[in-house]
Formats: sequence, C-alpha cells, structure tokens
Amino acid sequence: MRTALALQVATFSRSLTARLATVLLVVFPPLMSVGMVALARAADAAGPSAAKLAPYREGPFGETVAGLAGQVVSVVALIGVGFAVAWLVGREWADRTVGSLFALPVPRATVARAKLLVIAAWAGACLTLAMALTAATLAAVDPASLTAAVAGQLARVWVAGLLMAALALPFAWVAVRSRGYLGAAGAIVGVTAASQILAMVGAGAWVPYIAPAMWAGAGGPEEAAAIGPASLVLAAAFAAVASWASVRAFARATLD
Amino acid sequence: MTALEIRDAVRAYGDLRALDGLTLTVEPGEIHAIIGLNGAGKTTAMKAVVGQTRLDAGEVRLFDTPAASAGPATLARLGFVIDQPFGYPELSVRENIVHAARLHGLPMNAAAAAASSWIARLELGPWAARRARGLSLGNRQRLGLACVAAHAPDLLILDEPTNALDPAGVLLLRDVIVAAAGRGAGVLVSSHHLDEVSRIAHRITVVHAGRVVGTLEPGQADLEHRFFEMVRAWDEDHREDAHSRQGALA
Repeated sequence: MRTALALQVATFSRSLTARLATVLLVVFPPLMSVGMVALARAADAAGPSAAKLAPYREGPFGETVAGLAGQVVSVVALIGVGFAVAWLVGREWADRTVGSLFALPVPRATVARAKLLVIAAWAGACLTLAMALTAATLAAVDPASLTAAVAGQLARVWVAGLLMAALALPFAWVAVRSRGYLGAAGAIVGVTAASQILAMVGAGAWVPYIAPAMWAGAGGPEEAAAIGPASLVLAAAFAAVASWASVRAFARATLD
Repeated sequence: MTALEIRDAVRAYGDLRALDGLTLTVEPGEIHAIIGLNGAGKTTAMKAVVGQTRLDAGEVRLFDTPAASAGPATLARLGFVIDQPFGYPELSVRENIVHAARLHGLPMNAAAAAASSWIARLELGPWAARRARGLSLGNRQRLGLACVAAHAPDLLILDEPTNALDPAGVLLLRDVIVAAAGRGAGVLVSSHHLDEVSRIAHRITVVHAGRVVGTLEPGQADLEHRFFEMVRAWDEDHREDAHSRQGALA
C-alpha cells in the first residue's frame, strides 16, 4: 500500500485539478459564508444584489453564517472532491497510463484504494482547515457571535462536509466505467442538479446526496431538524458501498 | 522452466478473431521476436499475457504459473511495454523510474539506485529532472524502457519498442535486450523493423490472422521477402478465412 500511496501522493500533489479544488474547498466556505452575511449587513448594499442578500440580513450574525456555511460546504465538498477523484481515477485512461498498472506486484485494487485514501485524507484536511478558517474569520469579524451554539452548528457543518466528501468518492466508479474524467464530470453536474430538484420537492431526507446538506442547515432549521441519524447512516453506507464498488471496478477493468 | 507460454489463445471481437488458437513460448535467455502485419494479433497476444484483455479460450502461463493466478513474486519478474510506455507526465524522468521500480517490487533505496543507473545507461541524464510531459516521443520511449527494465525482470515483453526511437536509441534498446537475454531473461518482442529483429532474435515467429503461421531463421538475408511469401501462402491456403477476416476488419 505504501508504494501505491507514494505514487498517488506524487501525482495528485502536482495536478492543477488538486490545486484548484484545494482553493475551492479551503477558501470558499469562510469567504462565502462570513463574507456574504457581512456584505448583506453592510449599509451600502443596494440594488439586485441587496435582494439576493436579504435572507442574510436578519437574525443573529453567527447563526446566519453557520446556516450559510452549511449550504456552501455541502456543495463545494461534493463538487470539489468529486472533480478531484474524477481526475485522479479518470486520468489513468485520459493520459493512457492505466496499461502500465496491469500485472504488477502491487494489485490494481491496492492502487484504487490508495487513490481513494489520498483523496479522503486531502478532503478531510481541506474541510477541517475551511471550518477552522470560518470560525476564526467569524471570531475576527464579530467575536461575540461565536457562541457555543454557533460552534456546535459549525461542527455539524464540518461533519456534513466530510459526509458529502465521502459521497463524492463514488464518482470514481463513473470515471472507471466511462474510461476518463469527462463522464464523471458529467455525473457530478447531474447529481448536483438532481439533488437541487429533489430537495425542492421535499424528497431529500432519504437521498444520500441531499440528507447531509439538509442536516447541515442548507434548507433551514426546520428541514435540518427533520433529518434523523438513520438518514445520515444511509448516506454513509451508500458512500462506503459505492466506494467499494469503485475499487472493484478499477481492479477488474480491461483495455478491450 | 518456460518464462512464458501462450497456449491455444482465442480472443474474438464480434466477428473478428483477433487471436485464433495462437500458441508460442519464450524460454529463459531467449529473444523471441514475433512479426506480422497490423491486426495480425501480436499486440492482442501481449495484452492477454498481462491481463489487459481476457481470453475467450486458451491459457497464459508465466514461469509455469497460470498468469490469472500469478502472485506478486511472479509478477515482480515481469516487465512490459505495450501500446503506451510507463510515464506520468507530471513526474520527472527520475521520479517515474523510481515509482515504476517500486511498483515492480524494489525497495526505495534499490529503486533510487536503479533509476540513476538506467538514466545513465539510456542516456537520459540531461532530462533526468525534467517532467515527462516535456520529453520527445523517442525519449518517452527510452523512459518507458527504463521503467520496465530497472527491476531486472526475468521476462521482458516489448511491443514495437523501436517505433519512435532514433538510430542511437535503437542501438541502446538492442543492447538492453541482448544484455537482458544474456543474464537469463526471456524477451518477447514485436517489431516491424525486420532487419533489426533478424540481427538480435534467437527465434522469429510469423503471426498472421491471430495464429502462428510459421517461423523464419534469424540472420538470413531478405527477411521481408520470406515473411510476405509466408503470409501470402497462408492466405492462399485459407482464402475463405482471409476474405471473412478482411470483411471484419473493414
């Protein structure tokens, strides 16, 4: 496993996709959540932007930031981690490097597991940093707003972000089946769009790609309260089974 | 012990039988060249050896072990370049060789030493720190060779290894192949450069229509002529099969 991990760390750390996704995962949550709420409450907010920002003008500052962070983190975790895993797996076909991974003493299942492990570790680190930055920015802008309740809500957003990141790992399966990253990129867009539609019609609690986001407050406090542990366990179980299927697909793929 | 045995291999893609009962062996210390027209089945046979394609029938054995159940110890004795040489574009030449050697079972220190040795041997020194994406096609092919030879495999499989090499690269490749066979490794090589093949091979097998249709004596003159005669004779004797094959290829 160490050999496979070393190769994946070396390639992933040098990819443009990884660098862009790191910026998306680390910078967007604090910038969007604290920044948008602060902007909404600025005295000179006017015009069409003011209407968009209106929901963030009312209520306690910290709680509003935490609610918006739930929305932002859920989306960037799915998209950012999704594109990263799509690249790390799909590039083997796009760059025609997959052929060299056959008939090695290091099995392809181990290579696939290493890919998912590297992505998982990177995503966990990025999301942890993002939430720490969000809390620090909030404390810097308005120290009194970082109450125990707000910190608890941010911790919940962090857990939801990790769950959404885990749910992005199965895009590896799409990358294997479509023999490249374009198919997986299409799947990420499709799942994101479908999730929005299903959430709007109120079918989110039992859809793995929606439940963590709702739980994190992306749909408001009432919808968050409607998500029980069973919905989250289902989402985690789906991520685990689909990740296992991704490893299996990578290990069994041929080049016919 | 036979280094490689392909027995009665069959692989069909729809109506096209890419392999149609192909059987061949490679012995330790032997350079076995396979020659054939495009679509003859050479690459498909090599892909079947390493699992890139599955056989409909027949068997592949590596060092007397069924390839399908070969473990890490057996696979560590194999090195191959089929279709695309090893090389991640974002890694340097040295890094690629080190990672390839480690994937083939060498520990870190041995892999680093092997990388230095093969960079010198294949005259890749000026590009050692350069990323593979910036290399010429010929140097990428040299890199690919270093990546599969650095762990000193006992069986080397090379599909058209000379097609992007300049004359200097061809000489280096020839030295690598001859040296590998000299230390006891079996080498299976396919090539369109029949003169080159004739110069170094111990055995030349003609593959056509997915099967072995004959052998040619290495070192003889006019290899191309004798090759085409053999292929034409087979097509004459199997006219119906040849027609249906051309239809499937079209």
